Amino acid sequence: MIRFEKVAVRFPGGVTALHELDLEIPKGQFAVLVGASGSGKTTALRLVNRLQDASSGRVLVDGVDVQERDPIELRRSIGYAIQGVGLIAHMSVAENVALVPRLKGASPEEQRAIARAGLARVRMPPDQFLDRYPHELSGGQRQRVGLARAMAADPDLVLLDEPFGALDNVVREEIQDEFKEILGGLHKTIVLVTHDMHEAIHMGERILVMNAGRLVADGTPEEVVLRPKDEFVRKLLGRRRRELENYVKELRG
Amino acid sequence: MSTDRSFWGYFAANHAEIGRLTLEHCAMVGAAMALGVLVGVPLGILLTRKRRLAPLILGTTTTLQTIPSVALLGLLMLLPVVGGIGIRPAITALFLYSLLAIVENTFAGIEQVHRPTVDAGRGMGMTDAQILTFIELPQALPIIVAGVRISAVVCVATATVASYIGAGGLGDLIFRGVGRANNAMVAWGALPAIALSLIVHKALSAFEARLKEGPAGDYRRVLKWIGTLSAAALLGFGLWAAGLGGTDTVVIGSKPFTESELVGEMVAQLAEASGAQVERKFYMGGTVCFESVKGGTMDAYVEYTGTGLMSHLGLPAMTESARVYAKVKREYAQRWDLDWLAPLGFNNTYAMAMRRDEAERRGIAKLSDLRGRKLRCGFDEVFADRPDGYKGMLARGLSFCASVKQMNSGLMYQAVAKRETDVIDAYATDGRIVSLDLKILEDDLGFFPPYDAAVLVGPKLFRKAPGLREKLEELAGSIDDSEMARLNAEVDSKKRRAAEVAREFLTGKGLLQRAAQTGGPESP
Ligand SMILES: Nc1ncnc2c1ncn2[C@@H]1O[C@H](COP(=O)(O)OP(=O)(O)OP(=O)(O)O)[C@@H](O)[C@H]1O
Ligand SMILES: [Mg+2]
Repeated sequence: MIRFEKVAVRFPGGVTALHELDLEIPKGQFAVLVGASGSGKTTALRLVNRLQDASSGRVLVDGVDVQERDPIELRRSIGYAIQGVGLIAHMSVAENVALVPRLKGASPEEQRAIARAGLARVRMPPDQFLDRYPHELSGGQRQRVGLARAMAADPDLVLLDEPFGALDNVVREEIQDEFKEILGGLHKTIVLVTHDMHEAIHMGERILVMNAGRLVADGTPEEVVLRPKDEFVRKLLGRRRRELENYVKELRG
Repeated sequence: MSTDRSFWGYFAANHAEIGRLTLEHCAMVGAAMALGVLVGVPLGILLTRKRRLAPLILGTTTTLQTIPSVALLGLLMLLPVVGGIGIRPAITALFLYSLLAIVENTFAGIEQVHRPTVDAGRGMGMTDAQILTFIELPQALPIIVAGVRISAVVCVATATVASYIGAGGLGDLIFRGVGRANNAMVAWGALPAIALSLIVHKALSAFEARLKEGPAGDYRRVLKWIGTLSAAALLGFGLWAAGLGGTDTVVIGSKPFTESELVGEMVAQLAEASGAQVERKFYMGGTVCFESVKGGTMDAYVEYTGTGLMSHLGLPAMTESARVYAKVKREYAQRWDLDWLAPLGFNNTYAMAMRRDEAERRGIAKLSDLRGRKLRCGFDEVFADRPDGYKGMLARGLSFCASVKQMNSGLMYQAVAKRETDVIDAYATDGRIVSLDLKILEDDLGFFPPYDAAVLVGPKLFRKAPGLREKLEELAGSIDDSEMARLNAEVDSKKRRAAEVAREFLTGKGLLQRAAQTGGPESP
């Protein structure tokens, strides 16, 4: 589904955000990119929907080099949600959720129906929320609307960049559970970016650990947490290593 | 009907005109602002896309802003299409002034849009145009509206200056009122302008607050609404302006003082009587009149031979009336294809004036009678030092001042009337000579250069108004100094309308039929 072939990204000013990254994420997999701040997670994600162009190498989606696709059409076929959600403040919840279908030319009635279905999917009673505005929602509700928006056009591939970043811990775990449930049932390819190892273990089937623009670990949560090969991964697990190990065992249990 | 000097009296007598000028003012500002929005907002957007242009475009709009309005109007007068005189250059100037705030605020408004939102929009597959209309413009709207508000308020105030080039609007009342020391007239020009500013400010502030308050309401509809409104304002204005004065309309001008308006009014009424469509451009700057006739945007106004000789032609003073007239007539025809018709009869030159009883008591009637006297002199700010003033007199051995007090011309007339001074310098046709019963000393020495008034005519006037030539020939020579001073006094002291006084004069001379109602807007 997604393939990175020796992809490097160098920013003007000398920062190399990615060093020749090779990676493959098969269809239907829930992959989590995890790593410290500045390790290149967002950059890697944005390569997929062409918000970022590679300096060298190729990125393929469904076997086609993204450079050969029309960026607008490519992006509309991929769900995308970012930290702080990026909801449009002057649009109602309904308008936000149905944005991509609208861009694709859905009629107002279709948009309304899509918004209803989308809200229902993220467990928000449509009648209560359709006509609210983002500032009239709680942080968790906003995240859910953001997710509903990313899924509205029923994309096969969904990119989520720290979608829980703005939430406090209690709410975060609740929403994580919910998202896991919602997303788990959909059989979509999902790439989620986070810097929180706990979240990665909790959500992902596959964990990709990044450090300074390189992939330093790749495997199931058990493989990555219980048998860390890399010095950096050990450091990333840090003082919480014991706790995370127990958590993985518990999840598997 | 005499116009009242009191505040409410003036309003009662002139509310129709105040209303018309207010509408004219609104039309001018509305058209300029519509243009400003239609050009300024896209320019601001362009800047956010092509940042390299920012120094150039912002630099240009800032520079435009620093040009004093009178200077900008003066420059525009010389340009074709967007310039000339009347409402078009006024709109051009106001439009140019409006740009800075609109461009700058559009730019700043879009710059401050929350970047992650734009990024999310792009990530969802919005095109550049969709990002602009779905995200950037709606979020920048309160700041853009603030820019429009700032521009509009400045525009309402600046539009008063446009009267200087004959654009009409409330400035007409202010300029005319200042010229006639009629405070009620000034107030009725200034107050509606202030009220307009406040209304525009309040309305747009409220709109802005409403936009900032929250996202309720459909922003795209608001944007469309603003665009449509601007386009409609411009279109409506275009139709209105196109309806104004076709090419056959005769444009008659006047300089910014009562006497010029009175004789301009006479020319205008005679042109109307000869069947022409007339547009009056009164109370314009002196050079504006001259440049306009030269440029073909005005057909006639009344000029003074001395001004023509010294200011326009830049030639040295001459004292003999007939020679000055012959000189300007020949030079203007050669240089600019303009014609000086035969002089009207009065000579608005400097003159020495005294109280009539005082002059008689002392036995002074002529300039030469002053020689060797010891009088208390009151002169205006420039007269004492001019070669054609007291300094020149001294050079010719004509000394008569025991003391010289310098004062402004208003005080000067007061002072001589109250016997605080004995002799003053005056304009020979000033209305106050009549109202204060002063005596003008005859210039038997040929000292003062002549300022004979005559109609200065552009090449197209008589083609547009074929019957007018004979009428103007009849008018020539029919107004002497004291008659002109009397007419000036009717307007300045008795506060009558110039149009009415002019009509009365023309009817009295048999130049207009009593019954013949001349059309055209009245001018107080
Ligand atoms: N537009 C850019 N221009 C220059 N450097 C950039 C740009 N975007 C990112 N970088 C740099 O590239 C590196 C990787 O950035 P990236 O945003 O991918 O990190 P990240 O792993 O998502 O970090 P975080 O967890 O803080 O979001 C960083 O050093 C960052 O400073
Ligand atoms: Mg990031």
